Amino acid sequence: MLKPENLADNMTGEVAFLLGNEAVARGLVESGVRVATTYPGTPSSEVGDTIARFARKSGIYFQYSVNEKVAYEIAYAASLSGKRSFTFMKVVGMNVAADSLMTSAYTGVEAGLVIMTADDPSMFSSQNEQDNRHFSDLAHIPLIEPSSPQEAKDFLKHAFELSEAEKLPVLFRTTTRVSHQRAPVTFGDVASGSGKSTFKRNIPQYLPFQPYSSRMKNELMEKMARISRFSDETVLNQLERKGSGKTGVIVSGAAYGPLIDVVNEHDLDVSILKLGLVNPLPEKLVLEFLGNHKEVVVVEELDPFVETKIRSLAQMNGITTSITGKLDGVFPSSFEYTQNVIAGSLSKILPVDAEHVDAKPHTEIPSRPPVMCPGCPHRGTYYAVKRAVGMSKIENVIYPSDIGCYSLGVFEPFEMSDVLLSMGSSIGTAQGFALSAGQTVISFIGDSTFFHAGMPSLVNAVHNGAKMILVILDNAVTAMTGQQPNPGSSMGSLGDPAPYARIEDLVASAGVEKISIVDPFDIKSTMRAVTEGLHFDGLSVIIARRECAIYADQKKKKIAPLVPYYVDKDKCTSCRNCVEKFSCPAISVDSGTVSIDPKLCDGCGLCSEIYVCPFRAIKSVEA
Amino acid sequence: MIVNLKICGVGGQGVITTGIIASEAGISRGLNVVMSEIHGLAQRGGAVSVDIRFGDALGSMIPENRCDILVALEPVEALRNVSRIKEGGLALIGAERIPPISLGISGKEYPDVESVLKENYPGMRYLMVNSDEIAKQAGNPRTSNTVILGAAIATGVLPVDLQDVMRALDSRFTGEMLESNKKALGLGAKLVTV
Repeated sequence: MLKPENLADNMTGEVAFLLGNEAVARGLVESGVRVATTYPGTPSSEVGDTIARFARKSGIYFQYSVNEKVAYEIAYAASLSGKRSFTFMKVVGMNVAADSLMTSAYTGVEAGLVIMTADDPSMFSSQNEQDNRHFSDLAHIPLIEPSSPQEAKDFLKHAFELSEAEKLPVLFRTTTRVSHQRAPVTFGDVASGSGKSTFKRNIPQYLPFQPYSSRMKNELMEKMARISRFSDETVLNQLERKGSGKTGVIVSGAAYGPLIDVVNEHDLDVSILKLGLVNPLPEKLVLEFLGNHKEVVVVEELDPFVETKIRSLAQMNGITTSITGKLDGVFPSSFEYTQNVIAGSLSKILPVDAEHVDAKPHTEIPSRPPVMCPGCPHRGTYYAVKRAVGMSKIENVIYPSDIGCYSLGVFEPFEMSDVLLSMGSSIGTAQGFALSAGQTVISFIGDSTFFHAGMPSLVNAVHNGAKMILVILDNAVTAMTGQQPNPGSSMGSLGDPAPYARIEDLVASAGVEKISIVDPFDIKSTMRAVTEGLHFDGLSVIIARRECAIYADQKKKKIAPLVPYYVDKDKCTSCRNCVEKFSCPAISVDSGTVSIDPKLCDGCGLCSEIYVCPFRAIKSVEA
Repeated sequence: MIVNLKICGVGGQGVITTGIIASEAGISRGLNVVMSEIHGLAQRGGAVSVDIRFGDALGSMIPENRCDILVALEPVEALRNVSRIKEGGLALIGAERIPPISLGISGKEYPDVESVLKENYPGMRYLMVNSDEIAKQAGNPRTSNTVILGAAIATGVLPVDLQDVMRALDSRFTGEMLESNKKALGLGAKLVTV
């Protein structure tokens, strides 16, 4: 097994079993990247987790930035200073980075600059499945799409070369099944990064004011026209197999693997044109392919991005080859393409047997959604808020929530999440409800999300007199994506000590008059803070502060083993409060008996508090 | 030739690690292996599964109903994935229950997994493995996933043998963890005679 810290070593020709995102990290080393930035987000997070392990050794500067826009701007400035730079994010992170990305296409860049979006068809861990390939049209920048971990590494090098040749940012798009696929990857040479690093002032080039902006736009369109010709020649676009000429398939991205499985299984007589540089389209190649086949099928996940371009190309060139895709209803425009989805669509036009025989058992299978971990401080926060609101007799409370582990508050037993849109949206929607709904509003946001996009919204709420309670769940790290540091963490991006922002100071200087800082494991004090907030005529902030359990355990376990709790059968009355209202995954009930699984118990002891177990039946094994 | 292995369980049980070990066993033998996994929240406690395909597969997901062998580290998770098994395929199931919190909240009972399997899939071959107990015999309760992997290898369905898995363990673990995992693998393999 190759350790992540060794992934930057010189091992040309060696093969390792790598996650797509690890292959991307290796791709940076082979591309001579000097600066890499991100805001963590699934399915892109492991790229950063991996770079952080070898950054110091390989001389790459790496940063977990406060949000995707800042991350992109740092990479852009690095490129203007002559360093190849890379920034990466999850699908919706592109929306945040887009503001600066759009204009950076006009100014162009110096050293290679690649921006990676990890899209998430089927929304395994994202709030929508937007197809970020459209950003390449919107910004007029080239788009490269790998279909496997090997390509994720190899295509990245092409992306940097193209970016540097045309002085344009390049969009690099993976999807979940590329980023989270493991496969054998063959290494190439380690590239030495450029040593020079200076910024040369060039106002007509970098300042998007008139008359410069109009010239910039013209230059941008000229660059894309040149890349369009390059698209016909690059190895990224290839005729993969040649059939008898009746049917051709044009495919890109993650759909390639499952498509080939279906073609092989059914021994289909098709030619396959595989696109890696998807935008601008290789027009000559596509026209030739259309001309050589009676019918052409376009296989791509999500929107008919390639298909639309091919149809308009065919129309402009008077080509009558039949084109099949999503626009004629043969392929779906939603969710990822499995072999079954592709076979099902192809069966409408080709000899493919797409019988589904996946027979679920006739019984109710208990659901097992993700849950807050044993020892998670959020459980204490939600438990206390729910209890305090219950005791206040205030009804119809609105709970705007945000992006993080605490989003799980939507599930039973808490069910305290009413709306959720995007990073930071809890505070914006909360003040909207406070204005419009005439109900009590309690809003939840985590520390990292607060820094990312919550701060401007809080300033706005205070200035405009919104009456609401804002609970900031401060667990010291960006927990959901794997405990990465954020500007409130006392460690920096590579794990070393770093200065950090104090949320209470930021909140106070925004003008918030009522601030409580509580330990969510102190249920009584947390409840008191909520009760006070409910009676306060204005905006109050409760900072519920305790380290993420996983993060804390990583440190604790080095000192002493965790001591689990157990249920004293003599004292337990089976009142079920702990299983029904507290719901720690370590506590379960089997045939009426409540017990704690010592392998899952984190030893936090919160369940032994009188507010959770009024009969004092839960005790520490050690006591 | 393609052989499909699905591994499922509960977050924290070692589903992904077990998958990587099985895959690296295949790689060390020179086989092509692709594995698909879904990383969502970093939390422990949700349902997790990985798809592993040995041989000439390019797509990393196992098509419906094509799983040659299912390794379930937890009984309810076996039920959740059992329909993926192809006709004539096998299931190896860790017997120790981790009741989902949804049962505690609803007050419903944990299902009788073996009865459901027998009623719904009469001809299916499966083995319930007391992997936690055997893992303790191996000297480390955290090796129960390796016990079940050992049993899966011993069925002979996968194109890898115990030596290949030993090599994968060698490259991942050292010291006590390596010894207990090797022991767990061997004890698991003894549960199956072909």
